[in-house]
Amino acid sequence: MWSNYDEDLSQNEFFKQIKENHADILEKAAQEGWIVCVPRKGILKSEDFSMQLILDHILIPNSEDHYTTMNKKDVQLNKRCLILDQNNIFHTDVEVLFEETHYIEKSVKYLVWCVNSPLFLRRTRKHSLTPVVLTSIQDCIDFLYLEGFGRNLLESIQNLCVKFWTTHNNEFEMETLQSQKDSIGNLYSQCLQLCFKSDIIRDKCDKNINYLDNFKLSIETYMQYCLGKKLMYSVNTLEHFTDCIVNKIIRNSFNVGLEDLNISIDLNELIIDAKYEISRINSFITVLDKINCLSRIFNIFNNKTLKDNQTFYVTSDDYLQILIYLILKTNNPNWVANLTYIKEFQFTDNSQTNFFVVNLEAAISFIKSNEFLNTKKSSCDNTIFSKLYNKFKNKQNIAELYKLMQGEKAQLCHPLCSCPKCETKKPHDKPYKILNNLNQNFLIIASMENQLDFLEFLLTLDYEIDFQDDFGKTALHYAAEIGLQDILMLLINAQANVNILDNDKNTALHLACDRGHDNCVKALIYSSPFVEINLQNTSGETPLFLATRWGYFDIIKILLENGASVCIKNNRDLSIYKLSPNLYITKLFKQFGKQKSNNIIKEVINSTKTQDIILNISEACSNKLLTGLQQQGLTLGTPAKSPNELKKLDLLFKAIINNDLPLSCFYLGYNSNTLDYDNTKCHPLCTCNKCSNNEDDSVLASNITLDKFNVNMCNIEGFTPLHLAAKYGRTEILRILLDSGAPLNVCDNKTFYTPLHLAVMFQRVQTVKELLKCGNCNVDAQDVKGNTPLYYACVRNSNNLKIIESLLQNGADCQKRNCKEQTVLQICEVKNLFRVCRMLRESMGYPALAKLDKACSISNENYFDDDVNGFEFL
Amino acid sequence: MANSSSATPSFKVVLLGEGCVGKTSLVLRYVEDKFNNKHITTVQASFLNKKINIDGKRITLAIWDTAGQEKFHALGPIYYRSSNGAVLVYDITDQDSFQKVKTWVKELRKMLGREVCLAIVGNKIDLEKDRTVPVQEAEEYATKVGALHFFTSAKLNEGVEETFLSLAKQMLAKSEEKEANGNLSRQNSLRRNMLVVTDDEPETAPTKSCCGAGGA
Repeated sequence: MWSNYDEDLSQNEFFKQIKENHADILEKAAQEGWIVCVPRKGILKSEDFSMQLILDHILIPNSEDHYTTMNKKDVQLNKRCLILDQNNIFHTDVEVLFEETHYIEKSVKYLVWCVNSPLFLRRTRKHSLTPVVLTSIQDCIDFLYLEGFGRNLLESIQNLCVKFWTTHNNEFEMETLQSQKDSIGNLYSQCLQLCFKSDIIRDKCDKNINYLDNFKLSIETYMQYCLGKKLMYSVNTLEHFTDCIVNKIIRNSFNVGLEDLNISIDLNELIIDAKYEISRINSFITVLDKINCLSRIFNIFNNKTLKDNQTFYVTSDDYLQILIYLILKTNNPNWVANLTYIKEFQFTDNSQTNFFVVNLEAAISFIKSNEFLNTKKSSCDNTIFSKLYNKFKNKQNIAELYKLMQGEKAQLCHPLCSCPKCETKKPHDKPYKILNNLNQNFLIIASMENQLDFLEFLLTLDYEIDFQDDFGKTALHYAAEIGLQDILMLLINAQANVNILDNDKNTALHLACDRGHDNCVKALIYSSPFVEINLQNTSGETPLFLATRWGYFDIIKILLENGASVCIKNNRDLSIYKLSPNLYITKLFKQFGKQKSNNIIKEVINSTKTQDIILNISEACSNKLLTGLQQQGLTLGTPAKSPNELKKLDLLFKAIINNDLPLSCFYLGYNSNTLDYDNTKCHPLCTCNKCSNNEDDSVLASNITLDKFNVNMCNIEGFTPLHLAAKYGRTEILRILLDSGAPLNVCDNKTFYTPLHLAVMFQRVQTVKELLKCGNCNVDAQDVKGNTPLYYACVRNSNNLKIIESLLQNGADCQKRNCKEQTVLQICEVKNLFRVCRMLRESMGYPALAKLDKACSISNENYFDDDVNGFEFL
Repeated sequence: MANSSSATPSFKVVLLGEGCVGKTSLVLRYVEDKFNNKHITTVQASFLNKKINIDGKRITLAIWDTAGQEKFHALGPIYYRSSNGAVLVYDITDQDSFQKVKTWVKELRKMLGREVCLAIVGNKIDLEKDRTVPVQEAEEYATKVGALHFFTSAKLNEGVEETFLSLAKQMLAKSEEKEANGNLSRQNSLRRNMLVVTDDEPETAPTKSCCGAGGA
């Protein structure tokens, strides 16, 4: 790679001299392949020119890297430097700045090397110390210091930058990229103007374009340096969304290896160097330094091309793949922001540095693309473990699986043989308990591979669900790490411990946060009331730290909403605020920090006011209805107090809607097994050890239930789980709810529907019967319009006679007047519902009907059938 | 992309083509001069800045080799955007690689328009006996799409230098033509990332003022 130095050789006095007066030499050079060296502009004075000097600058290739000048002096080339003195006593190495190929005619050409100082010029001229090529912020400061006559220029630029931040303090980060660029661009031109006030500088710039370029570059770089990390922070904020996506992909590709990206293993050592180099990219503030960081990485692979005397060329493919690998393996959370910063805030342009930037861009967009996912390989090993596993996994038939699980009888030499051959054949005691080389069992592997059905089957076997492998990870850890929500839910459902720590003291929640799986974070937090949200791992970091580091905004929000602390510091004494990568997240922290202190105050107030809330709602209704409510013996549900409770309630509702009995039990805090304990007693009054244990358990379980979940809890509209169960006809769940003490005659706070109302409206015959079975059910509960369940049964669903019948049997009163002073009977008559009317009349005329037994009701049904034919006589 | 009249115009040239057609060898051959078997600088195959002087006109060629693997195809635009020339390489013994060149031509014309100078290169003519891409077909296609066509052998060092030289000449001609048309404003607009500070620079030779180093 050539240096950035450039000059027009046709303007170079020395080269002009050769061209004008020694064209013959150039002609010869073209024929023989000689090389013409030209000292850079401004080094030589015209009085130095002599024939000797010119001859000293014509190199004749000798053997590899060795040249002889036309004056028979030896010159050696080593890494872009001409070594004039083999013994290196005088330190007279001369840097070759660039090479230029001059074509005279088609394909006739000679090479010119522009060198940093003249070759073999005895008289040492004291020339400028100013660096010609600027590669770092230090070079730029030196350049400005030397050329800007001391500190003045530097200080004025710094002042401009300080002023810039004071004027742009008001959420500069929230502005668009274009307006940020414009603001910074403005600042840049102010800085430039400042410099060009000096006549001397202007004069120099006019004469030398290279000087002008350096000036611009150093001003730009110093300006970025003065603006500091705040500029990067605002780019982080701009790109937070894309960075978050890229981070998630990177975090989930930790197992991509060199071979997955087709990178030669031989490069491993160089890659370690490069990794160190690239990990420093965020410690550089200026664009120039960041680009140089990239260029050093490129050079690491180019400077060591010789390996075992064989030239190894790093091609574009290699370089791109290496870069992808490096990005994946570096814990840098803001690649996209870095790229944007380099691309958009560089005002001087250079095609050479462009190459690095473009490659970085290509690498990042490759990571973002789907193609990248295809490079991940699944490992397939051929151990006994995996063979067994694959055999089991693919079996669909459960009976067959059970059989397989018992192990096969193997053919041994003789029944007690223990020769090595037979040892391997011997059936495992319980083959499904086999472990692989990482001490992982089938449960863990099935979880990792997202084998939902197989896992469900495995959970029926006697596995220890919290079994930890060599890394201390359980199946739950892996499910959270890989982001398998279904598996996670299944495991939580099966009572997996959600707070187990792995060897790094990470909980499953830590891993889900680190990998950015918001679905798993949600599952862990919402479905498990026991999950600890503020546990610290070996680095002293809570899940919130991990989510913050990678900028997963959604996860951070969930964690904060569920009580994650913003006050904890990690082992390096960093607070969460310090770690925050962008403004959005910082804002979130501040908001929740405030909200939390507010919440504590609110909670104190609330605890004294729960009673009032119910009254408030009641006041909203008319007094008449309220008294009616009390007269009817109807109650209201307990409103959920915290968002957390509401969420739990919501989940329970969903489980009820989906008719998921185990899940509903789980949310209610029941182990679904404990429900059966009552029946498992040897006989109802048995007090043997086993039975009394069970008894204790069930008592315990119900105690916990009370602690865990208030079954009378209602949502904002006042619906309790019982309402839901009645509405959807989930009779089993309904029974459980009633058994755990849910008040039967509860009504919502808007329409005053009781569960019976809903069960009738949605024609849940079984549920209606179940509700009526409870002795204290208020059959004639009136809703806000004064309508009883019977009204809905008769008017809305007049076809479902069974419900009407059940209601009437339980003493429903068809004469009860609603708010419009109409009875059910009147309404039915108006609507010509003959069959219903007849039933109603009968219930009035024969009150004994309500007490008829089954046999009678069957005959009634027959009677109704007849009625269909003869109802016009009625 | 002429920065200013006194600075050297810098042309970006991308090398495109399927993997294994010898793109990298072509660049290597171009750098490893016949006069200069051991390279002056450690050779990198992926990026090369070459300064040449044709009849007193200075040009800097920034030659970018691109990743040829199929999985990287989608990254093409990132590499070739704002390039002035493209060398499209195919293997004369591999018909598929020639078809690939055709797709590249289409893509480049679509994305970069007529501005970009194309050179189609049939590489590996040392394997003439295995040729599957007929000379006539290739040359006719090149003429049809307005591209130069060359046959090269990186192995025998045939035609490599001519390819780049001719392309450079064409790019130079095109940029001069454009400059003659006074189409400077358009050039500026191409450099989106540039900040034009011309107005703010008092008396610094206006011709040099388009900021940006001279593409060294």
